[in-house]
Amino acid sequence: MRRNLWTLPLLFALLLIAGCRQQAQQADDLNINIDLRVEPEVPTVGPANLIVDITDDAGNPVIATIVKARGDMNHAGMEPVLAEVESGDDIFYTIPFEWTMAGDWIVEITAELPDGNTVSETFDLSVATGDGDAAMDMDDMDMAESTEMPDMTDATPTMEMSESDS
Amino acid sequence: MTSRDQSLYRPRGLVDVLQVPFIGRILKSRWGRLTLQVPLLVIAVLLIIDGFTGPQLAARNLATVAPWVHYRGLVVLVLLLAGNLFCMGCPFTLPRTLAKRLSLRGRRFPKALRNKWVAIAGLFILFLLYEWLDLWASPLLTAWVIVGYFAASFVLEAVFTESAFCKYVCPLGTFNFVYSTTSPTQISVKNPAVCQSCVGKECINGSYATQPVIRVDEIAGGGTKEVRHGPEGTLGCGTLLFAPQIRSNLECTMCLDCVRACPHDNVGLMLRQPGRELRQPGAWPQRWDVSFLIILLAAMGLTNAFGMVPPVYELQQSIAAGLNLNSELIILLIVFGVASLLIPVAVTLLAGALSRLLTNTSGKYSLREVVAAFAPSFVPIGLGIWIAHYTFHLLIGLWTIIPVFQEFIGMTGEWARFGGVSDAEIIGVIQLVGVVGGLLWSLMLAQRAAFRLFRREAAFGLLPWALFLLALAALAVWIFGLPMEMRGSLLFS
Repeated sequence: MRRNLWTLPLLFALLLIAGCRQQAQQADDLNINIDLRVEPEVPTVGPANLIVDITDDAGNPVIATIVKARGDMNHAGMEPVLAEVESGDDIFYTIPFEWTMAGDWIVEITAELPDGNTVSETFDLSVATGDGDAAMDMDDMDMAESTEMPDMTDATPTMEMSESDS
Repeated sequence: MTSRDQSLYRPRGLVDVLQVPFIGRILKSRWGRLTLQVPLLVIAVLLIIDGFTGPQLAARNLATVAPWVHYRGLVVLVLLLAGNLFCMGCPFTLPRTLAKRLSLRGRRFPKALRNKWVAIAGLFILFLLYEWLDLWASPLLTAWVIVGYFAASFVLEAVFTESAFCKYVCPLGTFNFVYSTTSPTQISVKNPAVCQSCVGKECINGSYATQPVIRVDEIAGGGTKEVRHGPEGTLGCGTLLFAPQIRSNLECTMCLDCVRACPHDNVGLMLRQPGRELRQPGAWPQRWDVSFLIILLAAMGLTNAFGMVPPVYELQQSIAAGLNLNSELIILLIVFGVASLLIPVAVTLLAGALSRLLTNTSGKYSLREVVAAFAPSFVPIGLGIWIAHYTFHLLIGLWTIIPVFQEFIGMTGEWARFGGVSDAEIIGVIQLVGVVGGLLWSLMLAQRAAFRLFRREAAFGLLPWALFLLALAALAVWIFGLPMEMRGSLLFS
């Protein structure tokens, strides 16, 4: 039994390491909304634009210094798609993107705000092979049917906030 | 009646890997297995911690990236190039060792279950759950699978005397057993005469005893040998293999307990021609469960890959519409039950029956004997299919483990640097080499079996099996030529 005592500090060290993972703070009280549209409106494999709108609860635009997009397939080990844009076109931030594979994607939009805070939000969507056999998950994703911002009252996004540059 | 001399087996070309300086000394030492098990145990603990506490995004969690991308990709290559090193280093057997010491007076695994049917069922259920629960997309569920493995291993080893979990139940171990038959290494004895005169047969009985015991044995060639048993001794072979009679890797975990327990230093890990046992008629038992394990595992390789390409979703949708079903589990059960079990079993029986019919040997060989003779030829094509599938994931996501680990320890993951994909053309070539190479190796084995069984009628006897193997390879090439499309519950979410 004494021989195995070395495993205890080892497990303790592992738990400590796990506690080091950067944790984003919940920011329900920050009153910031991130909305996402994609072009083309039914995502298909190939180039696309992610159109991000950041507003406060009153609907006023919130300026971000940089907006990043990260797309992950839901299968582990697939190549993530990374893109970012530094300045917005009016109240929208258009991020050139590419869907590299058909299937279920998780897109994380992260906005760095001038006050140093970082706000992020994830969206689930489904990318088709090109023959229109899949569509976005309407629970989390707004489909752009016009150039105007869609109604986001039904969206249930996951929003997180963390300290910037942590 | 087989004489005692004939029952002992000694492969040609005795090069003992354990004689290699340093490596051999470490592996043979009492704690040799721990040098592999401890790192893998640490990794398993990390996966459990991250699975339960980390982000539930498969691409950014160790619990999903390490097992579903790296473990699977590495295991098929290591089996082919070295041996069953992952069973050797299996961390699940650490609590098993404790459990086994508790169960020395326990009972044996039920006789009715001492076969490969449980393992076949376990593999099928694992692959079904993999698709149904989207294990590849869920760090939490993957962590639970790992915890379940530790628990199942401990419980089974505590209840039963032999290593029932490894030998009869563990799906991962069964996979490793099957494809380690292609490996270039095998446990064997150096001098069979020593085994004939051995009194204690420690390789299978072990040298562990609760109280120290000293025995003096007469050894071959004259002289005596002092043999010590005691609390510091080694347990014998967990899967009840007798070292001088081992002709196959099929149930060998490569734990090297036989090597450590042998008081005569007469057991080694020998190099051999890769897949040598696949050519030897007597290496495997001629049992239905063993034959179907080999053939069905190759078919499961196809269906597991089929679960990642667009036609599977169309098939599920048409089954849902045609049968008016809304249960994803039932639909997956139909798809994978038919493709992994029913069709392969039917085709196997048909091929066996045709072989006998075309060669007019129905009175000479039973269907079971014919199927058993050709079953080993399904190992290379099966391994080729698994290599094509798993190396795809490994090479696509080879370096992603680095940013995932960076994030795990609190750093910023360097995704732009390490997230890049390997050359798609190279991956395609590797997949093609895996499938075509496996097919050619399988055809050679099948041809050999046909000549052994049917002599001048070999071509007719071979034909059904060759068509079966070609069909498997053609389906594999078709599936791997399709674009990958990973979806969760497309129909029912």
